Amino acid sequence: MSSGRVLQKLYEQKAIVILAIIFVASAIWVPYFFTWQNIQNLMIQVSIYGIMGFGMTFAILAREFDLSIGAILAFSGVFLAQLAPKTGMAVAIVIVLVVGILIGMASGVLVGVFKLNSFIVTLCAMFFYNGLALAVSGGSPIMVDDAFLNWLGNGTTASVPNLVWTLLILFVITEYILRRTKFGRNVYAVGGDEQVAALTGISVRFYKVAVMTISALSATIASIYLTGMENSASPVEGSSAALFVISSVVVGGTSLAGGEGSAIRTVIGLFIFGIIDNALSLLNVPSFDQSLITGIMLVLVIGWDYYGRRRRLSHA
Amino acid sequence: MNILEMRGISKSFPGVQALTNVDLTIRKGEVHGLVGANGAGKSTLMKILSGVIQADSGEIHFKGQRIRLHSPLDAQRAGISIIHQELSLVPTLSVGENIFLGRLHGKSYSLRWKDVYKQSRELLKRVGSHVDPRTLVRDLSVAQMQLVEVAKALSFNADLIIMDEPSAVLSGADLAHLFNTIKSLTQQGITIIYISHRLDEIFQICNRLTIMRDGRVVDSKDVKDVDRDFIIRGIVGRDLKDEYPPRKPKTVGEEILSVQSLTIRGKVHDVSFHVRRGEILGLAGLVGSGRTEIARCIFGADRYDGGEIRFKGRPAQFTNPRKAITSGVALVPEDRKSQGLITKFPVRLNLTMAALRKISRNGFLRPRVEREAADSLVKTLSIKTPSVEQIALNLSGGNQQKVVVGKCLFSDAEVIVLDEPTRGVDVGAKREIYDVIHELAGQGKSVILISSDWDELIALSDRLVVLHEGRVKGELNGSEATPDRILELALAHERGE
Repeated sequence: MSSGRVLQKLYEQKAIVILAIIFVASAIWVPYFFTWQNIQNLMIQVSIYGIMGFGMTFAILAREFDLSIGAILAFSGVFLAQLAPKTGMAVAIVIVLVVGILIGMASGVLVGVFKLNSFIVTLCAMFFYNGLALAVSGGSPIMVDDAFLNWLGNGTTASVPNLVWTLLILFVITEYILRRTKFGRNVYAVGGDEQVAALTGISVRFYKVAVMTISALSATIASIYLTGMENSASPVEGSSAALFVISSVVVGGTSLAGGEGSAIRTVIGLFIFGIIDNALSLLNVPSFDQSLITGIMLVLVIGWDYYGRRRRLSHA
Repeated sequence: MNILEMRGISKSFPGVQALTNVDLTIRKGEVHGLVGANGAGKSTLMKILSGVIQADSGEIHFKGQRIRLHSPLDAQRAGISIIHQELSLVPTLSVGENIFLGRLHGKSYSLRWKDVYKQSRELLKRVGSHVDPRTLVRDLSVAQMQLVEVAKALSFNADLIIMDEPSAVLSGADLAHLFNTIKSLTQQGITIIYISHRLDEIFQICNRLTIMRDGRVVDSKDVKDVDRDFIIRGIVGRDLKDEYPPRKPKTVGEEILSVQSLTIRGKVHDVSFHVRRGEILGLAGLVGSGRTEIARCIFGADRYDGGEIRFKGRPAQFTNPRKAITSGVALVPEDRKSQGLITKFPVRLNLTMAALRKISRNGFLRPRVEREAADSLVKTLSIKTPSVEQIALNLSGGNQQKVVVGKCLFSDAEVIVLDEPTRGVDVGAKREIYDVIHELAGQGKSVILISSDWDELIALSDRLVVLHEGRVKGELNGSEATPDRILELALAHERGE
């Protein structure tokens, strides 16, 4: 690849350029940012959202949407916390994961088979599971004291936090599925153009159910780690998770129009968010202002990217 | 008298010289045909004339005055309207609202619906449409929408109307109606620029024509002074020996697929026909004759209410396209951009998507095998693309169509249904698609061909089934068929049989 083409590629993949700029700027100007301790913190901060981000990547690639992941995160957490004392942790985890799959299939069937808009379906699901989480928990956080769960959420392996390992492993699996399997290819096709995919013999229905299931399952997995990390489960956890995760996926460059994107882009989007957050905290910027600055930066990032794409298309 | 003179128009896009020193002269009250291959610069020139984009250099003189067009609104004010192939009507608004869109209120800021509908009705009458201006646009047929677009152009007091390939979406009676409208408009002193890939139409309604190639004007002539070969030579830039491949004597095999008493309520009634291995079967008929509906049933994309489809001697249970494809039946759909191709995906992905099983093992893709498969399809079909990684959208219409055909080939189809394979494709690329169709039949595959271009249908088909309003009206041998014979058969009933 010549240097010209490298530049061209970079220009097209603005998200990574933006990530690099933000990273370097933070490393130079933000005290303590570029320390091993802080980088670890940063990775831990993004990993819970990251786990859900990979699930969301499937949904958005297939041109669907999942607003319910925050509610599923909260519900699965308190459900696990209530279940564990009765069944033992191992069984509880299995049950929670199975329930997560069923939750996703329920939304998936409404979206894929009954052709309801996933925005509406998952919005309703969000209210439903939020309510269920409050009902199951009685409205207050539940303490969880389990060695294994605590190890998952706070332990390290080879001096790297287990959460970060999980993020890395899920990233590799997601990217591999998307790039190198029939399943992944067909997810792109369904999102790229549903009608064409159907006329090509791809079962649109199956893939819509599948992506919604993967998204819900990823929220359930995240809830297990989160519960371990905090040694408790709260029914009001994750109220802004869906928007945060969707924004990360989109900022990374996965298109809401479907069929275009990847797991690596989701990682980039997550870190753009994560670093802004982390750096502003280190600079002791008050949280109101943090939110304000994040909003402005997002508009700039998405705007620049969108403008570039439009220019590219109009030249084609 | 010349109503329009474009002088020395040049336009370049990054990396492409789209127009080079183009002159175009249009006389008042004429129908001026504009022809050329895809990418010859017709659309760019028309975009400049309608104010969508600006030329790098050159002048436009309209009605004797030099005009500068910075926006579509400038062009409309000057009296130039364009009717795009993709119609620009709002489906959820009424016909009247669409015609006066953006100009619905006068000085009083209150709507005068009576006036809007009264004026709309008058305008519609001028274009020969009897649609009630209160009808919602989404309830109209494409042909009716075209006329609404013309009425809208008239509402701007347009002196010059540009029509971009109206025949791509119209045929038969609808097209004849549009031609009548065009004639009556010219009698009202309105000038028309008519873009088309169909040369018959040029001879039928145009007074003069301009041929473009590679961003330049090749020639402008009176239609009566030129013949078909002259135009084709101008478009292609060389002698295109024959428009159609020669008919070769061939042996057709046994029957592979048959349709028996197929019925779709309200659309198709008791239709039966069959196709043999290595045969090209043409389905002839006007739009609305049920051709596309039948094709979609064969392919499992739609349900039917009665009858049977048999494939290789057994009833075909194609309840969805997947079953049809895995059995060996493929469809090249009517609208390649919205049904055949994922235009934002690379050529490679489009080519292999119907048969991922061939490039995967246990669900895992094999990138090398895929690449080789895509490369070899590009070669066999001589698809013109810099690489298989090129985005399908950037290919010309003809090459896009070849990708869709390639997709069917890769799925090992034995019966290929081609619905309007050459719509919107220029003359040179058409011939290549014809060659591909012949090649398919030569390999023993069966082709069911649907086309509104009867010359093409006759030239390619071994046998033709003539349909009209959902019924089979007769069958013709390819060698004995003529457009008149088809029309005669199609309309036999109306004439009292």
